[in-house]
Amino acid sequence: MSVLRLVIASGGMKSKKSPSRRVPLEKTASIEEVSAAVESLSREDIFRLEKFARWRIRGLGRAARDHDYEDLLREAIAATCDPERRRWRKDEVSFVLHLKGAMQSISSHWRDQFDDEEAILEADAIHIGEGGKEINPLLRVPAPLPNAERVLEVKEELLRIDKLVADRPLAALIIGGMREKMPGPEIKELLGISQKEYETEMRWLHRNARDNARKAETHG
Amino acid sequence: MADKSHDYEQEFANLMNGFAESAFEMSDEEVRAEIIDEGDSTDHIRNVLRQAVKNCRQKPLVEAQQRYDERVAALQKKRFSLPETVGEMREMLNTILTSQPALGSTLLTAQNRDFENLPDEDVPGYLKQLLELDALDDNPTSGDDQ
Repeated sequence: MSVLRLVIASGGMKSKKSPSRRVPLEKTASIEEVSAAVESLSREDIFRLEKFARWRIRGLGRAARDHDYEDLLREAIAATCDPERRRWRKDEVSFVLHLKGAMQSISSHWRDQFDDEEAILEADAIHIGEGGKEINPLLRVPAPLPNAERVLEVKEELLRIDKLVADRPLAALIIGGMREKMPGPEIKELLGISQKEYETEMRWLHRNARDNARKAETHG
Repeated sequence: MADKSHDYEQEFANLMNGFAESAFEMSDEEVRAEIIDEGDSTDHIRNVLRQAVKNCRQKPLVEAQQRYDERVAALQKKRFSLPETVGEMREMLNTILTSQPALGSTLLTAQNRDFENLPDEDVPGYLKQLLELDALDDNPTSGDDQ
Protein backbone atom coordinates (compact mmCIF):
# COMPACT_ATOMS: atom_id res chain seq x y z
CA MET A 1 0.00 0.00 0.00
CA SER A 2 1.45 3.33 -1.02
CA VAL A 3 1.95 6.19 1.39
CA LEU A 4 -0.71 8.10 -0.52
CA ARG A 5 -3.21 5.30 -0.03
CA LEU A 6 -2.38 5.13 3.67
CA VAL A 7 -3.01 8.83 3.91
CA ILE A 8 -6.33 8.50 2.08
CA ALA A 9 -7.34 5.52 4.23
CA SER A 10 -6.64 7.46 7.39
CA GLY A 11 -8.88 10.31 6.33
CA GLY A 12 -6.41 12.53 4.54
CA MET A 13 -3.60 14.69 5.79
CA LYS A 14 -4.58 17.06 8.50
CA SER A 15 -2.03 19.55 9.62
CA LYS A 16 -2.32 20.64 13.22
CA LYS A 17 -2.27 24.25 12.29
CA SER A 18 -2.74 25.47 8.77
CA PRO A 19 -0.26 28.14 7.78
CA SER A 20 -1.64 31.58 7.06
CA ARG A 21 -2.84 32.03 3.51
CA ARG A 22 -1.99 35.70 3.65
CA VAL A 23 0.20 36.48 0.68
CA PRO A 24 2.36 39.61 0.54
CA LEU A 25 0.39 42.18 -1.44
CA GLU A 26 3.14 42.75 -3.99
CA LYS A 27 2.94 39.07 -4.99
CA THR A 28 -0.79 39.11 -5.51
CA ALA A 29 -2.94 40.32 -8.36
CA SER A 30 -4.87 43.59 -8.27
CA ILE A 31 -8.56 43.73 -9.23
CA GLU A 32 -7.48 45.08 -12.64
CA GLU A 33 -5.22 42.08 -13.14
CA VAL A 34 -8.01 39.72 -12.08
CA SER A 35 -10.30 41.45 -14.56
CA ALA A 36 -7.74 41.05 -17.34
CA ALA A 37 -7.27 37.40 -16.41
CA VAL A 38 -11.03 36.80 -16.71
CA GLU A 39 -10.92 38.28 -20.22
CA SER A 40 -8.02 36.09 -21.25
CA LEU A 41 -9.44 32.80 -19.99
CA SER A 42 -9.78 30.39 -22.91
CA ARG A 43 -13.15 28.88 -23.74
CA GLU A 44 -11.75 25.50 -22.77
CA ASP A 45 -10.77 26.75 -19.33
CA ILE A 46 -14.12 28.42 -18.82
CA PHE A 47 -15.82 25.13 -19.69
CA ARG A 48 -13.60 23.33 -17.15
CA LEU A 49 -14.41 25.88 -14.45
CA GLU A 50 -18.13 25.58 -15.10
CA LYS A 51 -18.04 21.78 -14.95
CA PHE A 52 -15.90 21.86 -11.83
CA ALA A 53 -18.35 24.22 -10.12
CA ARG A 54 -21.38 22.16 -11.16
CA TRP A 55 -19.98 18.85 -9.87
CA ARG A 56 -18.73 20.38 -6.62
CA ILE A 57 -22.17 21.82 -5.92
CA ARG A 58 -23.80 18.50 -6.80
CA GLY A 59 -21.42 16.77 -4.38
CA LEU A 60 -22.54 19.09 -1.60
CA GLY A 61 -26.14 17.92 -1.86
CA ARG A 62 -28.20 19.66 0.79
CA ALA A 63 -25.11 21.29 2.21
CA ALA A 64 -25.18 23.54 -0.87
CA ARG A 65 -28.36 25.10 0.57
CA ASP A 66 -29.39 27.87 -1.84
CA HIS A 67 -26.00 28.10 -3.52
CA ASP A 68 -25.75 27.11 -7.15
CA TYR A 69 -22.69 26.64 -9.34
CA GLU A 70 -22.73 30.30 -10.39
CA ASP A 71 -22.58 31.35 -6.74
CA LEU A 72 -19.51 29.20 -6.34
CA LEU A 73 -17.84 30.88 -9.31
CA ARG A 74 -18.78 34.34 -8.00
CA GLU A 75 -17.54 33.54 -4.53
CA ALA A 76 -14.20 32.37 -5.92
CA ILE A 77 -13.76 35.74 -7.63
CA ALA A 78 -14.87 37.62 -4.51
CA ALA A 79 -12.33 35.72 -2.43
CA THR A 80 -9.63 36.41 -5.02
CA CYS A 81 -10.23 40.16 -4.89
CA ASP A 82 -10.40 40.33 -1.10
CA PRO A 83 -7.01 41.12 0.47
CA GLU A 84 -8.07 39.39 3.68
CA ARG A 85 -8.93 36.17 1.93
CA ARG A 86 -7.55 34.10 -0.91
CA ARG A 87 -5.38 36.27 -3.10
CA TRP A 88 -4.03 35.00 -6.39
CA ARG A 89 -0.24 34.50 -6.50
CA LYS A 90 -0.11 35.52 -10.11
CA ASP A 91 3.51 34.57 -10.69
CA GLU A 92 3.17 31.10 -9.25
CA VAL A 93 -0.24 29.75 -10.21
CA SER A 94 -2.28 30.09 -13.37
CA PHE A 95 -5.56 31.94 -12.94
CA VAL A 96 -7.68 28.94 -13.88
CA LEU A 97 -5.96 26.70 -11.33
CA HIS A 98 -6.22 29.40 -8.71
CA LEU A 99 -10.00 29.62 -9.26
CA LYS A 100 -10.27 25.85 -9.14
CA GLY A 101 -8.47 25.81 -5.79
CA ALA A 102 -10.61 28.63 -4.46
CA MET A 103 -13.83 26.82 -5.43
CA GLN A 104 -12.58 23.61 -3.86
CA SER A 105 -11.83 25.38 -0.61
CA ILE A 106 -15.07 27.39 -0.55
CA SER A 107 -17.29 24.38 -1.27
CA SER A 108 -15.51 22.35 1.43
CA HIS A 109 -16.08 25.23 3.81
CA TRP A 110 -19.80 25.28 2.98
CA ARG A 111 -19.99 21.56 3.76
CA ASP A 112 -18.17 21.97 7.08
CA GLN A 113 -20.41 24.87 8.03
CA PHE A 114 -23.53 22.82 7.24
CA ASP A 115 -22.29 19.83 9.26
CA ASP A 116 -21.39 22.07 12.20
CA GLU A 117 -24.79 23.73 12.20
CA GLU A 118 -26.58 20.36 12.11
CA ALA A 119 -24.47 19.20 15.03
CA ILE A 120 -25.33 22.36 16.95
CA LEU A 121 -29.06 21.90 16.27
CA GLU A 122 -28.92 18.39 17.66
CA ALA A 123 -26.79 19.49 20.60
CA ASP A 124 -29.37 22.19 21.39
CA ALA A 125 -32.14 19.62 21.53
CA ILE A 126 -30.28 17.33 23.95
CA HIS A 127 -31.09 18.00 27.59
CA ILE A 128 -30.65 16.37 30.94
CA GLY A 129 -33.77 14.68 32.25
CA GLU A 130 -34.78 13.41 35.65
CA GLY A 131 -32.09 11.35 37.27
CA GLY A 132 -29.41 13.23 35.37
CA LYS A 133 -29.85 11.12 32.23
CA GLU A 134 -29.15 12.73 28.85
CA ILE A 135 -32.21 12.89 26.62
CA ASN A 136 -31.98 13.36 22.88
CA PRO A 137 -35.55 13.87 21.60
CA LEU A 138 -34.34 13.59 18.01
CA LEU A 139 -33.67 9.89 18.57
CA ARG A 140 -37.36 9.30 19.29
CA VAL A 141 -38.73 11.11 16.25
CA PRO A 142 -40.29 8.49 13.95
CA ALA A 143 -40.22 10.60 10.77
CA PRO A 144 -36.99 10.62 8.79
CA LEU A 145 -34.51 13.09 10.24
CA PRO A 146 -32.94 15.62 7.88
CA ASN A 147 -29.67 13.73 8.09
CA ALA A 148 -31.37 10.40 7.40
CA GLU A 149 -33.10 11.90 4.38
CA ARG A 150 -29.80 13.17 3.13
CA VAL A 151 -28.25 9.74 3.50
CA LEU A 152 -31.19 8.14 1.71
CA GLU A 153 -30.85 10.57 -1.18
CA VAL A 154 -27.17 9.93 -1.68
CA LYS A 155 -27.70 6.16 -1.34
CA GLU A 156 -30.26 6.34 -4.13
CA GLU A 157 -27.94 8.41 -6.28
CA LEU A 158 -25.11 5.94 -5.74
CA LEU A 159 -27.45 3.07 -6.66
CA ARG A 160 -28.51 4.86 -9.84
CA ILE A 161 -24.87 5.30 -10.82
CA ASP A 162 -24.17 1.61 -10.04
CA LYS A 163 -27.03 0.62 -12.33
CA LEU A 164 -25.75 2.96 -14.98
CA VAL A 165 -22.37 1.24 -15.14
CA ALA A 166 -23.66 -2.31 -14.50
CA ASP A 167 -23.03 -3.34 -18.11
CA ARG A 168 -19.84 -1.39 -18.53
CA PRO A 169 -17.14 -3.03 -16.43
CA LEU A 170 -14.39 -0.51 -17.09
CA ALA A 171 -16.62 2.41 -16.16
CA ALA A 172 -17.70 0.53 -13.03
CA LEU A 173 -14.06 0.14 -11.96
CA ILE A 174 -13.34 3.81 -12.58
CA ILE A 175 -16.38 4.76 -10.51
CA GLY A 176 -15.15 2.45 -7.76
CA GLY A 177 -11.81 4.26 -7.69
CA MET A 178 -13.46 7.66 -7.64
CA ARG A 179 -15.67 6.64 -4.72
CA GLU A 180 -12.46 5.83 -2.85
CA LYS A 181 -11.14 9.30 -3.66
CA MET A 182 -8.46 8.03 -6.05
CA PRO A 183 -7.16 10.59 -8.51
CA GLY A 184 -7.63 9.93 -12.24
CA PRO A 185 -3.98 9.18 -13.09
CA GLU A 186 -3.82 6.62 -10.28
CA ILE A 187 -7.00 4.88 -11.47
CA LYS A 188 -5.61 4.78 -14.98
CA GLU A 189 -2.36 3.28 -13.75
CA LEU A 190 -4.05 0.69 -11.55
CA LEU A 191 -6.30 -0.40 -14.41
CA GLY A 192 -3.39 -0.43 -16.84
CA ILE A 193 -5.32 1.43 -19.51
CA SER A 194 -4.15 4.03 -22.01
CA GLN A 195 -4.95 7.71 -21.79
CA LYS A 196 -7.27 7.32 -24.77
CA GLU A 197 -9.19 4.44 -23.18
CA TYR A 198 -9.49 6.36 -19.95
CA GLU A 199 -10.71 9.48 -21.75
CA THR A 200 -13.29 7.53 -23.76
CA GLU A 201 -14.68 5.98 -20.61
CA MET A 202 -14.68 9.26 -18.73
CA ARG A 203 -16.46 11.00 -21.57
CA TRP A 204 -19.15 8.32 -21.47
CA LEU A 205 -19.38 8.64 -17.69
CA HIS A 206 -19.58 12.42 -17.79
CA ARG A 207 -22.38 12.40 -20.29
CA ASN A 208 -24.40 9.65 -18.65
CA ALA A 209 -23.86 10.67 -15.04
CA ARG A 210 -24.89 14.20 -16.01
CA ASP A 211 -28.05 12.96 -17.76
CA ASN A 212 -28.71 10.69 -14.81
CA ALA A 213 -28.45 13.62 -12.42
CA ARG A 214 -30.80 15.67 -14.59
CA LYS A 215 -33.36 12.84 -14.61
CA ALA A 216 -33.08 12.52 -10.84
CA GLU A 217 -33.68 16.27 -10.49
CA THR A 218 -36.75 16.08 -12.76
CA HIS A 219 -38.25 13.14 -10.91
CA GLY A 220 -37.14 14.25 -7.45
CA MET B 1 -25.07 3.15 12.10
CA ALA B 2 -24.00 6.77 12.12
CA ASP B 3 -20.56 5.91 10.74
CA LYS B 4 -22.12 3.88 7.97
CA SER B 5 -24.37 6.81 7.04
CA HIS B 6 -21.41 9.12 6.99
CA ASP B 7 -19.66 6.78 4.56
CA TYR B 8 -22.45 7.02 1.98
CA GLU B 9 -22.28 10.78 2.02
CA GLN B 10 -18.51 10.76 1.85
CA GLU B 11 -18.54 8.26 -1.01
CA PHE B 12 -21.01 10.36 -2.92
CA ALA B 13 -18.99 13.51 -2.31
CA ASN B 14 -15.82 11.71 -3.43
CA LEU B 15 -17.52 10.61 -6.62
CA MET B 16 -18.86 14.05 -7.48
CA ASN B 17 -15.55 15.68 -6.58
CA GLY B 18 -13.85 13.08 -8.79
CA PHE B 19 -16.07 14.15 -11.68
CA ALA B 20 -15.17 17.77 -10.90
CA GLU B 21 -11.46 16.95 -11.00
CA SER B 22 -11.85 15.04 -14.25
CA ALA B 23 -12.97 18.23 -15.99
CA PHE B 24 -9.38 19.36 -15.56
CA GLU B 25 -8.02 16.09 -16.94
CA MET B 26 -9.75 16.64 -20.28
CA SER B 27 -7.64 17.77 -23.21
CA ASP B 28 -8.53 20.99 -25.05
CA GLU B 29 -9.64 18.87 -27.99
CA GLU B 30 -12.02 16.86 -25.82
CA VAL B 31 -13.38 20.02 -24.24
CA ARG B 32 -14.05 21.56 -27.66
CA ALA B 33 -15.94 18.40 -28.67
CA GLU B 34 -18.02 18.66 -25.48
CA ILE B 35 -18.75 22.34 -26.13
CA ILE B 36 -20.04 21.46 -29.59
CA ASP B 37 -22.03 18.56 -28.20
CA GLU B 38 -23.55 20.36 -25.18
CA GLY B 39 -23.88 23.86 -26.53
CA ASP B 40 -21.56 26.75 -25.82
CA SER B 41 -22.27 28.45 -22.50
CA THR B 42 -18.81 29.97 -22.11
CA ASP B 43 -19.96 33.52 -22.89
CA HIS B 44 -22.52 33.29 -20.14
CA ILE B 45 -19.95 32.00 -17.64
CA ARG B 46 -17.46 34.72 -18.60
CA ASN B 47 -20.19 37.28 -17.91
CA VAL B 48 -20.82 35.73 -14.49
CA LEU B 49 -17.11 36.15 -13.73
CA ARG B 50 -17.05 39.71 -15.13
CA GLN B 51 -20.01 40.68 -12.98
CA ALA B 52 -18.30 39.20 -9.93
CA VAL B 53 -15.21 41.34 -10.60
CA LYS B 54 -17.45 44.38 -11.01
CA ASN B 55 -19.09 43.61 -7.66
CA CYS B 56 -15.63 43.49 -6.06
CA ARG B 57 -14.78 46.91 -7.50
CA GLN B 58 -18.02 48.38 -6.20
CA LYS B 59 -17.80 46.71 -2.80
CA PRO B 60 -16.31 49.74 -0.99
CA LEU B 61 -19.09 51.95 -2.41
CA VAL B 62 -21.79 49.48 -1.41
CA GLU B 63 -20.33 49.24 2.09
CA ALA B 64 -20.13 53.04 2.38
CA GLN B 65 -23.77 53.27 1.30
CA GLN B 66 -24.72 50.66 3.90
CA ARG B 67 -22.91 52.58 6.64
CA TYR B 68 -24.64 55.76 5.54
CA ASP B 69 -28.05 54.04 5.55
CA GLU B 70 -27.39 52.64 9.01
CA ARG B 71 -26.44 56.07 10.27
CA VAL B 72 -29.54 57.65 8.75
CA ALA B 73 -31.69 54.89 10.28
CA ALA B 74 -30.07 55.45 13.68
CA LEU B 75 -30.62 59.15 13.32
CA GLN B 76 -34.28 58.63 12.52
CA LYS B 77 -34.69 56.58 15.69
CA LYS B 78 -33.49 59.50 17.79
CA ARG B 79 -36.15 61.84 18.97
CA PHE B 80 -35.42 65.52 18.88
CA SER B 81 -37.85 68.19 19.92
CA LEU B 82 -37.28 70.58 17.10
CA PRO B 83 -38.88 73.99 16.89
CA GLU B 84 -42.10 73.99 14.91
CA THR B 85 -41.29 76.48 12.19
CA VAL B 86 -38.39 76.55 9.77
CA GLY B 87 -37.64 80.09 10.88
CA GLU B 88 -37.21 78.96 14.48
CA MET B 89 -35.09 76.05 13.32
CA ARG B 90 -32.82 78.42 11.39
CA GLU B 91 -32.55 80.51 14.51
CA MET B 92 -31.55 77.45 16.52
CA LEU B 93 -29.00 76.49 13.89
CA ASN B 94 -27.65 80.01 14.05
CA THR B 95 -27.29 79.83 17.81
CA ILE B 96 -25.39 76.57 17.62
CA LEU B 97 -23.14 77.69 14.81
CA THR B 98 -22.40 81.02 16.46
CA SER B 99 -21.31 79.29 19.62
CA GLN B 100 -19.38 76.59 17.71
CA PRO B 101 -18.39 78.00 14.30
CA ALA B 102 -16.03 75.10 13.63
CA LEU B 103 -18.98 72.74 13.51
CA GLY B 104 -20.70 74.84 10.90
CA SER B 105 -17.67 74.99 8.64
CA THR B 106 -17.12 71.23 8.94
CA LEU B 107 -20.68 70.22 8.38
CA LEU B 108 -21.74 72.72 5.79
CA THR B 109 -18.55 73.44 3.89
CA ALA B 110 -17.68 69.77 3.71
CA GLN B 111 -20.96 69.19 2.00
CA ASN B 112 -20.36 72.14 -0.26
CA ARG B 113 -23.38 73.98 0.99
CA ASP B 114 -23.86 77.57 1.96
CA PHE B 115 -25.81 77.79 5.17
CA GLU B 116 -27.53 81.03 4.19
CA ASN B 117 -28.88 79.41 1.04
CA LEU B 118 -29.88 76.15 2.68
CA PRO B 119 -33.31 75.18 1.31
CA ASP B 120 -36.08 75.00 3.90
CA GLU B 121 -36.52 71.26 3.45
CA ASP B 122 -32.86 70.64 4.41
CA VAL B 123 -32.95 72.68 7.60
CA PRO B 124 -34.49 70.00 9.90
CA GLY B 125 -31.96 67.42 8.65
CA TYR B 126 -28.95 69.63 9.37
CA LEU B 127 -30.30 70.61 12.73
CA LYS B 128 -30.78 66.94 13.63
CA GLN B 129 -27.24 66.17 12.51
CA LEU B 130 -25.88 68.91 14.72
CA LEU B 131 -27.90 67.68 17.67
CA GLU B 132 -26.69 64.16 16.91
CA LEU B 133 -23.13 65.43 17.09
CA ASP B 134 -23.99 66.54 20.62
CA ALA B 135 -23.36 70.10 19.63
CA LEU B 136 -25.61 71.10 22.43
CA ASP B 137 -24.22 69.27 25.41
CA ASP B 138 -26.82 70.67 27.68
CA ASN B 139 -29.61 70.68 25.14
CA PRO B 140 -32.69 69.58 27.04
CA THR B 141 -34.66 68.88 23.90
CA SER B 142 -32.77 65.83 22.66
CA GLY B 143 -32.96 62.24 23.79
CA ASP B 144 -33.28 58.65 22.71
CA ASP B 145 -36.58 56.95 22.15
CA GLN B 146 -35.68 54.25 24.55
